[in-house]
Amino acid sequence: MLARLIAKSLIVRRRQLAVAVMAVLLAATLVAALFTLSLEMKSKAGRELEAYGPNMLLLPNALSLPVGSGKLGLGQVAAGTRIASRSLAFLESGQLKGIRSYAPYLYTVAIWQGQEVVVTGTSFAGVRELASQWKVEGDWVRDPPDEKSSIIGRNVAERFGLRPGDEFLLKFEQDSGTFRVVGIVETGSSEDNQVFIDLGTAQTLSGRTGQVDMVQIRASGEETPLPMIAAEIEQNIPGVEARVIGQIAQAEEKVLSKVQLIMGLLTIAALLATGLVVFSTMTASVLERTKEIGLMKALGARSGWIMLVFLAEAWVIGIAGGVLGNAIGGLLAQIIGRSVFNTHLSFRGAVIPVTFVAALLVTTLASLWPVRNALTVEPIVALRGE
Amino acid sequence: MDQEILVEVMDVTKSYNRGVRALEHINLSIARGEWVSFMGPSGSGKTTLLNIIGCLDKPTSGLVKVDGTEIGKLSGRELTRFRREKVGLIFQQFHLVPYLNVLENVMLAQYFHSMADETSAREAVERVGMGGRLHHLPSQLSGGEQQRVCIARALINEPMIVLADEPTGNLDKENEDLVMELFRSLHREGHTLVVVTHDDEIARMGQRIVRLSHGRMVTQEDLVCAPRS
Repeated sequence: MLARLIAKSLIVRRRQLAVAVMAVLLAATLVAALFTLSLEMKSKAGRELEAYGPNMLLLPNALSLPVGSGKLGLGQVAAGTRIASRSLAFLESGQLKGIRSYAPYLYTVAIWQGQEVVVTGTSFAGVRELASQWKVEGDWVRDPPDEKSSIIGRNVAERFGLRPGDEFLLKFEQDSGTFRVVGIVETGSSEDNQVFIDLGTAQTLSGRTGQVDMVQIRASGEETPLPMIAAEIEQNIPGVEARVIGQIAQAEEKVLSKVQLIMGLLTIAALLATGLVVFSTMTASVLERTKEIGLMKALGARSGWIMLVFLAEAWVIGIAGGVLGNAIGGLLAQIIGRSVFNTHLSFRGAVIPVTFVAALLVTTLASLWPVRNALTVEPIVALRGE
Repeated sequence: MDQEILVEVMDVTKSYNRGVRALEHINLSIARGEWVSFMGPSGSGKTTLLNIIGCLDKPTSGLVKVDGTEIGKLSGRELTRFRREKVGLIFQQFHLVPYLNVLENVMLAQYFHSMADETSAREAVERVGMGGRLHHLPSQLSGGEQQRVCIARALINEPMIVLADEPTGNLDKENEDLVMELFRSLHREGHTLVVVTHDDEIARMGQRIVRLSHGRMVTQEDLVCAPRS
């Protein structure tokens, strides 16, 4: 019977309710669209920022030698202290989520034609993933690399007149080796002065088997914040300092958090405005139905039933607005996604319950005061029409 | 033959915030199965007295017992429950829920009391001669028809006492006769009736007339040999 009463009262008040549903719909649309965009933006921006290189460094505990990537200073490494390359197995173990790619580096100096040249042993596959902004003339070293393949910096190539396909001999402290130029890299930074060879070869020729000086890591802070990933690495690889690179990571976090803040504020403003509309609708409903409330009380209706009649009205508004808002918000997010990211946004399951909860919460909270007023109606006053 | 006292009103005074006294030192008792009419000019306190007996209001001082329960001591929730279980209310303005049909209006009172039962609600509506208009909305009914629905609603939970405030105040002669015939029938069945009215003819259909003026009880007139304490 109560359900019938509620259903019929909703039909009678459908026009007033439609206005409130529209308000909730607008807010729910914004919540759904902005939440979808916020989630998508976080992962999309993270992926786009990956192009700028690593955002974390693994260094031995004592540091002194400055190293870098592109225009970024990436910290310092110290002579005498090394990272055991076997400990890097942890990065590939899958225990740590968020590691996208990494590249170990071993720095040494070799002599060619009587001149010193910085030789960097690395994993070409890792570098290729990390340093997508590198301009390489010729080719990248194919995976798995052979011990003769190398990529040389633009300045080195010009200094020694080397071209892709040329071979050259490097003399290390304890041994020497012949290398073939596969590609010439130009970054406008320190890489232009280095010769990149396979890590294993560099370790053998420099007599530092199983050691690396530094590891560059690209990690995603989407699920776990970068400082937490760094802390976990330090816990699992002893003697290592994992340093989050300020420039990129912080810029990334700042941009994302600012955009998310704006989206959050917009959402809160929309929810507040919606709350006001629902509040006024429910207040009007209580005022219009004062006699009806008085009658129900005179007939012996419990306060809980009267509360339910009005809360049901609020929940219908919330559910209708939530359903429509979810659908329209999803579409709106796609439209914005296409125009801003030029891509189709993936479906985010979390958006639906969040939008529903927001719509129901705002309608319930906005109805509490009007419902409280309904409960204080005195039956004799209401039936007298005062 | 002595009859059981259903309502006892002892030295009841009702004052409002501005010091206005709606009732002053009222003493009255109503026996089970009795039909009492309250008469008096506007503002005499007859509706206030009816509301107090009907547990819609509380006295400022004095004592009111209905079926042995002192209603002044009941909390708001207990009063609501008492009203739901023991009192049937009939209003001058009918006060039907406008968007519920005849059957649903009666079932609503049933629902508040215990459980809605369409069969017994239908029987109650048929009993007041409205069986042909079960699914009509109040706006589709005449005043007399609405009042009959109001009576069906008041009776559906088999209340101990039926209180009617100017039940024919908005009705023409023909509908007035129909409604009063229902009242006579209820009385014959043993219902206790308290009817507030301006109309001397209607008042005289009961067993006793209690006349009020300026919140005071002026006279009590026994019309038949009604049992009283």
